[in-house]
Amino acid sequence: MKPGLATDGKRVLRFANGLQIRTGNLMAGIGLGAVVLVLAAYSSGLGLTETGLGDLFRLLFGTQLSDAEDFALWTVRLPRIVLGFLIGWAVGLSGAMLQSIARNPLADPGLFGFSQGSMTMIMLLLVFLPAAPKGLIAIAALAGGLSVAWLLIWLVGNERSTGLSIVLMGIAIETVLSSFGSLLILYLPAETSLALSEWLAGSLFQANWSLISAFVPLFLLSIVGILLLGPALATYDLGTEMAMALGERVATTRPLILMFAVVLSSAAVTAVGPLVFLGVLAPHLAGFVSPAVARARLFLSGLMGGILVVSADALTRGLASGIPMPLGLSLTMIGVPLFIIALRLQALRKLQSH
Amino acid sequence: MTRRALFIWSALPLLLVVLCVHLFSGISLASLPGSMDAVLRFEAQSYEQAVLLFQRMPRALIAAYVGSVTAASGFVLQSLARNPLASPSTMGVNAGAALFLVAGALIFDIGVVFQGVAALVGAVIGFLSCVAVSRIAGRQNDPRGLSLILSGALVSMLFTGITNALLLSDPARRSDFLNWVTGNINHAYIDRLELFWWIGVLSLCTFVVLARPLTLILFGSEKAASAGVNVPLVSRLAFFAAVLGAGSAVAVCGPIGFVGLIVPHIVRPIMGSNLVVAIPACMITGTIVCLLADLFAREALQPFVLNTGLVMDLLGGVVFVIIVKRFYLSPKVRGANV
Amino acid sequence: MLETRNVCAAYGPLEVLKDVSVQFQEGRLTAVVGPNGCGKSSLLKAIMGFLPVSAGEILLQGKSVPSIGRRKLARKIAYLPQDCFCPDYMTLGELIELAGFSRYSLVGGPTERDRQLFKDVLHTVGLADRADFPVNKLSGGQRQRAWIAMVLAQDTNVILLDEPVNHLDMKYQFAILELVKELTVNRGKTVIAVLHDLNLTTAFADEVVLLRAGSCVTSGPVGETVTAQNIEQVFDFRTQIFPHDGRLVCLPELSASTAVS
Repeated sequence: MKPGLATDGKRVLRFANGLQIRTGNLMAGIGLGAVVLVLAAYSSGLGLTETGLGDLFRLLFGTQLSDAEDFALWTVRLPRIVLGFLIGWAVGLSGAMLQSIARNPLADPGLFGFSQGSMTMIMLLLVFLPAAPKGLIAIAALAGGLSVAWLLIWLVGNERSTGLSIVLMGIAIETVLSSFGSLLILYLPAETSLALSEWLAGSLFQANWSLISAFVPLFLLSIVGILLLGPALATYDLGTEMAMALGERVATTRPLILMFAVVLSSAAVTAVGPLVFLGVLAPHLAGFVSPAVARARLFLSGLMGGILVVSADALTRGLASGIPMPLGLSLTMIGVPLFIIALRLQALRKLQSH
Repeated sequence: MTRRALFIWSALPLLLVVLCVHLFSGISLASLPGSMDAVLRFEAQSYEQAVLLFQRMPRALIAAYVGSVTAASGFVLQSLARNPLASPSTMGVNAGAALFLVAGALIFDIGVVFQGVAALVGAVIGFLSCVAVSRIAGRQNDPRGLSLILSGALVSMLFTGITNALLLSDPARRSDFLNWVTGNINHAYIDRLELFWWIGVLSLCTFVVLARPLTLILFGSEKAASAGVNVPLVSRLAFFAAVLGAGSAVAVCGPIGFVGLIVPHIVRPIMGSNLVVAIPACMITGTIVCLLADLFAREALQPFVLNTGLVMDLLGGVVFVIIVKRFYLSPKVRGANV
Repeated sequence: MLETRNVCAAYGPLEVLKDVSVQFQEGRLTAVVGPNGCGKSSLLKAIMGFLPVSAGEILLQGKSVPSIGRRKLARKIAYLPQDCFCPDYMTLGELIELAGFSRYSLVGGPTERDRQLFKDVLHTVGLADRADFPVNKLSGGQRQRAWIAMVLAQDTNVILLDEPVNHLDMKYQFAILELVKELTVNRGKTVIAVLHDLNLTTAFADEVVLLRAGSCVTSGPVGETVTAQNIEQVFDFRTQIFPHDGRLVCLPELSASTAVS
């Protein structure tokens, strides 16, 4: 590994096999990682029980905590923070991938109908098998997302179709599925219906360590995916034909990438329900922090997604009012102002450079 | 021309037939004269007459209102956005109106009149946020106003999610609003129609007045401007009227999605894109479609009564798939695109 | 050598190529010329495999092109579509680095040789000082040169260009085509370009393929192929064609009514 210059004159770190990382992106990545840690530390101190990071350190050095502190920290807050990060990572990443596939900055797992597919399957499962184990729910979510992806590919056709038609067909499928969802909610017995909507609202309250341990392999897999698929996704950004002309095997990799995005998003849906807009916000904000292509773009998008969900969760618990605020709402409350600030800053930067 | 003539000659009789079926199905022929009499004198002497007068008539009126206003708004939105997928339901209008009405009713406990106001405000805000999102994201490669549709879908998803979350906070009143949120033509909502009908009528009048300049705008804003049309004013007014009209329809009976998407696609191949003739045609067709949907919802699964909104949603989703297939995936278009 | 043998292709029911047989000479600039919708772009797309060929074969050095894998093909043929879009976040340097995509290992990046090539290419098109610009901020002429640079950076022997001088003013049309011509002369590249302007064709191309309604009317060296008779047959209008300064000049004849006034 040694420093060098990229073709556009920016500083890079270069590995023996030619893999290069822009120093700017690396710094941004480290910075975002630091933000995650700070947020986590702050968030662990939020809530009714007076405990926080200090107690965690004391625990590490062998001091016993009271039962209440132990419960608040170890059973409630830390799992929420860790799971929140993992989910944000997954959704941010799948949003960034889908945006390249669709060549549209507004694409996200919700728009492609993947979330809705997962949700519909989970709802059906909860209706017909109310006592289904967690594992089965995850499988159902995956099956739902995958069948939407398969339906999309089948409806849209072969490798020659444009990315845009995929996302439009995704919206179409999403609409059909969501009206089916309302049908279920409306005509089911009140209790089941209430349980369904509660789950649909999305929240981190189910977070626990066993759920997290199921997520960790996926997280590791996604890092491998970033390494392998990063440059391919950058060629998709130039259009399907250009990608093929550059040597990308669209017919094989597009279904593969879609499937990968489905796995990420359906895992997130299983854990917390749908998170609208996260898949759009995370890559955009990451791009404002540090413009990047290919692998770095995916990586930073994932990190930014994690930050957004962790801070949204902190907001939900910090406000701690009677209304159980859905995660999607607090996400928007945090994401949209950040987005506007980023836009203003970018406009200012443009003014200064001229 | 012949197709157009056929439409003009058949639309009104068809409307009449559908209306009669809607009103009188299940009522025995022998009692028809009596029921007509009851309608005219606005008094019910038997159960059947009461059903006709206080259930079916209101439903027909609501269906006519929602159908005509939403379909006309949809046509205007499609013309202005230059996109076959534009409609109140795909551009955040319906979801915004629903969210604000539910929020107002559940959090601030407002009455029916203010619920209507909230729905109108919500319709405008939903539409504006859809436009804002597409402005922020819309960039160089956005042919045919597509980012508006994508951002509309995103905004709708978000608003619907929040609406559902809000409904959770009050399980007791949830079931009342659940029916409304999915969109339901129901005689219980007739008092809302009594309050808000004038908004829809105003917006329909606006469409009719603006039909000619709007048709010119279809050919390109510069061409319209050179023909003496004040393009920003006309398009803003038309957008505003379309959003408010659709919002008032939502305020009456909840979001009956996709009438605004489907009907313009039925009308355009027959009547062309000239708004002067297309707007009235949309109103008639919208009414017919809503009456049929309501009839289907009422009769299909007897003795259960479905929600009209759900019937329309399912139907609309399928039509959405067909539109995408036809406009964005046909070989000719693909050849031109790639 | 690249050649098509009796190639037929269609978009759904619409037949766009009918029995097209052309041999593209190595190291030469071949112009594909014809009226709008005659199948010029479709011919290039068929070669690249973007348009499925219903009959006939496409051969590259005797090997059937569809049987060559995408990645291998990308090292042999480069293609520039008619309309190129680049995302806002991508700089010229990053775009050029993507051109070497087919040569990178699965988890790798550009080698020393690749990086040298990228630098040379940017010098060749005169954009060495613009490498850190976002592609979408370049001017029209610069942007087209950027895309040409990308095609060059793919480092292939055969280059397909679909209307490379569209939307450019005359100065850049000449600049780009001079650059392309220079590639064939000095580096022995085989270039196939779709062109609209007959005078640009006669000025720069070595060979020409005349297409009409999906069929190849004739093909061969410019001097023999571009004749008033052939042009009338393909474009349905009369031209005068005369030599000037060692190249042919095409002058469309005016219709009688205009000529009198």
